[in-house]
Amino acid sequence: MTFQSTQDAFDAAFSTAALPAVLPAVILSVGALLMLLIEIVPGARASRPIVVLATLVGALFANFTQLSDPAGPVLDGIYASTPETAIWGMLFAAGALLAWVYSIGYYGEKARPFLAEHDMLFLSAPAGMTLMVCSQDLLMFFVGLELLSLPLYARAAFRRERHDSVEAGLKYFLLGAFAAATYLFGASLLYLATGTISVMELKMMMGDTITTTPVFLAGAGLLVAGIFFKISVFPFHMWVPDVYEGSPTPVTTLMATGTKAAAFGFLIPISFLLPTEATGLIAAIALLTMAAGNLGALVQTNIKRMLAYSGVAHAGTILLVIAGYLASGRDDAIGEQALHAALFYLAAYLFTSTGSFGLLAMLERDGEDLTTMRGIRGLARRRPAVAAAMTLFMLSLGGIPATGGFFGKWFVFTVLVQEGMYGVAILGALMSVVALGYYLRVIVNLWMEPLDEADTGRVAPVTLPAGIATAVCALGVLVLGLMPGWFLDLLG
Amino acid sequence: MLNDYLPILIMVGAVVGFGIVNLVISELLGAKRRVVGKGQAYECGLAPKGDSRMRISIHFYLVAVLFILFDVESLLLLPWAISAKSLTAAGVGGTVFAEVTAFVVVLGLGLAYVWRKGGLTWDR
Amino acid sequence: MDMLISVLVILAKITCIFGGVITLAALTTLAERKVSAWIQFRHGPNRVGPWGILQPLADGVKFIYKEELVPDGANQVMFYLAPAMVAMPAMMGIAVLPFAAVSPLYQDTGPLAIANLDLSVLFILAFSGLSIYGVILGGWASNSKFSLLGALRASAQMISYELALLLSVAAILLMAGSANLVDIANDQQGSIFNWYIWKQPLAFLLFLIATFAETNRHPFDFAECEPELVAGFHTEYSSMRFALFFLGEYCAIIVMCAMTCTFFLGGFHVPFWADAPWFVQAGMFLAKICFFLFLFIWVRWTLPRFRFDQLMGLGWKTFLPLALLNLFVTGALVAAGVY
Repeated sequence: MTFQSTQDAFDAAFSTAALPAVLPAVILSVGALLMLLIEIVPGARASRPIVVLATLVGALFANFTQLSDPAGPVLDGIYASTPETAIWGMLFAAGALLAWVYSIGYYGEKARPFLAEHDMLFLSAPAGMTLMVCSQDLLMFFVGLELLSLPLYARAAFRRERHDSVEAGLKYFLLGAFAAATYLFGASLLYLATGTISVMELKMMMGDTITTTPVFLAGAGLLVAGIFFKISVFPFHMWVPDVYEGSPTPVTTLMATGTKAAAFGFLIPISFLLPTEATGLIAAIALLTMAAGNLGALVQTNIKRMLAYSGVAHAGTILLVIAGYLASGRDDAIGEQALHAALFYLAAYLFTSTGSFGLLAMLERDGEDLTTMRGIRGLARRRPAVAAAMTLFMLSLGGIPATGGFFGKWFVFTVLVQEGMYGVAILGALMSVVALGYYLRVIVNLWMEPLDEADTGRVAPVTLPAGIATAVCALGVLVLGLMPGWFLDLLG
Repeated sequence: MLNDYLPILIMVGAVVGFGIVNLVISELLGAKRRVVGKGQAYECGLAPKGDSRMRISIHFYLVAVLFILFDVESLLLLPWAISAKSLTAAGVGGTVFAEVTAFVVVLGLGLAYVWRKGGLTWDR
Repeated sequence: MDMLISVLVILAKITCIFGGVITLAALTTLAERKVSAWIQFRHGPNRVGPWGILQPLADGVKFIYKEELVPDGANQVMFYLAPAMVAMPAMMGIAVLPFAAVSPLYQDTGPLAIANLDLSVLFILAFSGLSIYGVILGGWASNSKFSLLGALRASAQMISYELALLLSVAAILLMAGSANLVDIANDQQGSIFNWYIWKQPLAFLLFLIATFAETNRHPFDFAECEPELVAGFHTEYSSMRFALFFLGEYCAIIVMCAMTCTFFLGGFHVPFWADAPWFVQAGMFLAKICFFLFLFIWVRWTLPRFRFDQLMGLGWKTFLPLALLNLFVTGALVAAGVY
């Protein structure tokens, strides 16, 4: 854009029209900075929960106002606010809030002095995620990605007295840096080929001969590969189990739900960059991801690790919608349907996964051995409420009807079936059946096994915040499972 | 534009030439009398102890990281510094200054944070 | 033909200015010893030529014929290249120094400078920042503990003070509304009261002291702090490589002094004589530079050395906030239309 005068440029830069659209990200960023300031003002530490709650609730509300009256593209078209991004933003804020609630009382004495820095993650991460899904510009996405990732790297190693936590942090950092470099390299190749980094302009160019040049294809491939790292798609999923297991569980929660959701929230709208010939490749990658995740999860004895592998499998399932979109010849209507399917899936996954990781975080407080398949034996006898909630989440992860997970899978497979990809759909459904194997194992261990003879009867009381958070997660899963139409109506 | 940088290019040639000539000339003309012990690292006349590829204080890394942060943020102020006068002449100096104020306040708060967290204290 | 002439003009300017500054740097090594001797009631070098004026030449010849020592276990390539990596960026700064408002050369419009860039201030700062690589690599590659410590200290100190330097320069850019050294100098021509030193006294102090730290000079010479580190990062260097480190250091000092003059003392402009001929302006500029060079040596024998933690504390806790504040106040005054 060129400007006639300084005044014009000035008016464009200071237009207040963009404010409602960027408000969620602004609230979250300000809250994150405020959290750091609390640390340096003597006596202000006590206001930590207030800042977190006020910021996240404020962001929820700011996103909510965008739902009915989205501002559309603002700031010279590098940022867009749509009903979808408003829902993403609300999910991110809600997910961060729930994960943060589970972190209350999770850490020991050693971590006390650094809790403000820890809590800052739960504000900067949703800020980054919101930027990621709202960005209409390859660089804007990168800013959001780094805003999300950099604090996550540090928080993955938050329990620094433990080797596995430090290992998780380092592993996540190195692979994240690699992914970022891959993404940036792809983006610069795209810029080289087309001369733009604006998503809208790239979309307008599709169909030109320019988009079949090797430089463009290499750029698109690298860009997508960089995002694949973040959503842990085969063959870039190797880091997931170690990082998820080593990180503190509340941090893992955010990693598993928000990062994946935000990356998909950007990846699906820009998947038009991939040529339609890549349909088979994407479908194959998705199925391989599901296979790798499910087979890995089957043999795990540590539930946290199992959930990590299951997260990989879920990423594969969601990736199928991109295959469906490409199979349709990049049809915009199918693209929107694919995005909505992924949005629903990830919304259900967010509540389910947050709930199950949160319960693990609670159990961990009694002793880390309680988060193994052996440790939860007969838990239903001691803590029926916890066991019931865990059962619900496992059923939802497995995709049993009446839970949110079922409709998530349903919508994804609908997209495939519409495009006539029956084989892929059947294979995907079979994978889901395999997945049931390990989810049901958890339920069997919870309810049907006798108490472990080594059990010492350790029972920490369920704290009120964690109880509320679990109830909210369970409610989310059930509402999405019983009234999916209500959620879809939000999207209009 | 490119003409402005032609002298720079020639200057680079001159400077690199100067460096190389100086390095090569003493390589060629200098004495070469290697004897045992001449290659020892100087440690005040004692035999060198161990290797000097050692771990160094984390403070140096911290200073480097802080430098990158503040340097980049300060650099962002330079375009404003150069154009502030013309912006004032165009009648928008005050508003731009308000924006810069916000930026400088964030920068200052960042410094305060690092300071308070002990990042600037050398010997702890 | 035009191209040939302009290349010849550039070559002539490079020969005179680059050669002149190198000579000045060589003479500064003599001045260092002469002034030191004078301050300490000694004679200093007085055997080679009248008043020892040819001493730098004798030193040069001696450096060339000395043996090049490479310590055992040194990283050969890095060790070999490091001196040039210190000297070359420092010398690049010379390219944009303006010596007079109008060039006397044939078909050469514009000021008497090798290059007249719009961003010459940033050019100098960028290149002076590159010198750190040579220092670090030289110190590390030597495989000597003194070198390593010296290099680390030098780099930490150089980057710390670069912030204060940059921010105080930004205040000058605000005043001049340009990042071109010529524009900055032209803004201060005429009366001596047009010099920025009167309007920016704090920036002047910060900048001057930061240049001492940037060039690792006393009272901040921790990089080569003799009682502690023998000679710092160049402990293991000999012959011409050692000389290159020194030449680079003196070139950096001269460039820094020239910047100080241009930013705060009107640069090449002669007070109260706006359109002085080029040789008077160049002479004035050299005189101002020489004053600051003298100041560098004078300070060396006047102030005691700091302690390293004091140095870092001063840079981060005093200079950085002060420079930021100065920039902020200057910005407010510019926005209000006072300046």
